[in-house]
Amino acid sequence: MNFCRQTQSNSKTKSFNTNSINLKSSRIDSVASLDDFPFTKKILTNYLNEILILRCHCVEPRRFQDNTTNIKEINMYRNIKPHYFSIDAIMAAQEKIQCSFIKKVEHVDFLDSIYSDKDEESDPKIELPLWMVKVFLVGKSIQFDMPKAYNEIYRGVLTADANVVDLFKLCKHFYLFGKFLSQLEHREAYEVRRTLIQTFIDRFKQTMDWAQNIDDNQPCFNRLDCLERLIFNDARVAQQHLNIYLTEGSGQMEIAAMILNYRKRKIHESRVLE
Amino acid sequence: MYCDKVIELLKELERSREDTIPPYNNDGINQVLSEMKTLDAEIIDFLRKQKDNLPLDAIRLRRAAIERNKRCLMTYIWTRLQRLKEMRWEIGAILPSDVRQNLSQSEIEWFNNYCKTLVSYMKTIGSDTGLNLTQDTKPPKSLYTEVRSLVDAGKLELESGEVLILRKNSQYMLSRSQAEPLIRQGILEQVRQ
Repeated sequence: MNFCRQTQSNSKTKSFNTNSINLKSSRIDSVASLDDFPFTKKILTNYLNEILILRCHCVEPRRFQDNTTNIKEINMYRNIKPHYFSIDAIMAAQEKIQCSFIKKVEHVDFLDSIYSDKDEESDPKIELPLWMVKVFLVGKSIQFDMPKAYNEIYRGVLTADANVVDLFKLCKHFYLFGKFLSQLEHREAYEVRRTLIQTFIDRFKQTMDWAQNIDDNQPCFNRLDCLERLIFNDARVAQQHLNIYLTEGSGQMEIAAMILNYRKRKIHESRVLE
Repeated sequence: MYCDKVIELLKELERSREDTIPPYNNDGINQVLSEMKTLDAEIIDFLRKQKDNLPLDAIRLRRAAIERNKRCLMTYIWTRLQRLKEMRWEIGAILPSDVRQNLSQSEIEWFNNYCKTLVSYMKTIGSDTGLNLTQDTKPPKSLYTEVRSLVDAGKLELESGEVLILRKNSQYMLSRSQAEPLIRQGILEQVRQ
């Protein structure tokens, strides 16, 4: 699975003392103790790591200035890296950000060509992928605005009701991209982190509900972000296994899913040829 | 812009279904490699020409582009190998011909090595004959099971030495260990109780 993992030691995150942070913890716990979904708990544990990471993001750095050990823990979110081979993470880092240069950058050909097309006075803003912005931030030669999905207006929308938003349309890799953004130096980074986790919590119940109860779930599925899609698919498979177990019992041997799909594709291809 | 080609490669891989392997894009990979070489040459050029007042941002950007290209190429190969590995467990050691066509020479080599390693590992565990890890993926309830043949598969030699001719739509009682691989390949179907 191309899922985000921590390169840092896992145990460190798990031992992360959440009690020391009085951070709306009651709301997060209410997700973990959802009793009305049979498989929720199991799936939640699979994604616990991800949720913990989101939770680390949520901590306000200012609170712990007097306690050095805590600051170390708080800054941990900066060291959390996605899986090196994760296609999703690579694609998320490819999302464009609108930014403007504050220093002159020379010897980069494609920048020259972009700027020569434009009237320099009117609009000095250009769009660059996140990984490039990161490079220029090291030399402090660039400044950027939060992209549309994370600006103040959309943060307001997401806080008001996260369930009605079409996240996939808004930003394909909403959580991952948001996570990367909030790791950068920006005055709104803390607000973005908080919105991310609150959005995830608010939408989680609905995602599970859709996955377990609706048969034709394509329209709902289209509205989910990539991370939610993974959760959704896992939840659906789990629910199907449960249904099969309840109706037919266990021990039934079946054709491998890969071969079944392979055959279906063959039939389809031969029909197209005809 | 830098790294556009390698992103195209990954998109191609992402678009394909999870249980298939698209053709190995040799041209695309060579293009990315040559882009990396050009970037590297440019950096060396900067370092030679300007001893002081280096264009740090330009060099940093090129270095990041090289690193990113490397990461993406490795991801491309790694993802394909993961799918291939899964196929070994799902389909077995013999790949369908159109999957095989899409692989590169070194991928076929890797697959053969993987099969060898897996088999030699399975020989070393369990009792003296070894343990087949691909068998009994679900807990067995009985030693024998009733199956129906879905195709005219021809001769099947049983463990006892008898030869059985599988005909379409006829039912047999087979030992579970012998029936399971055939069921997974879609030749037989387990009769529901």
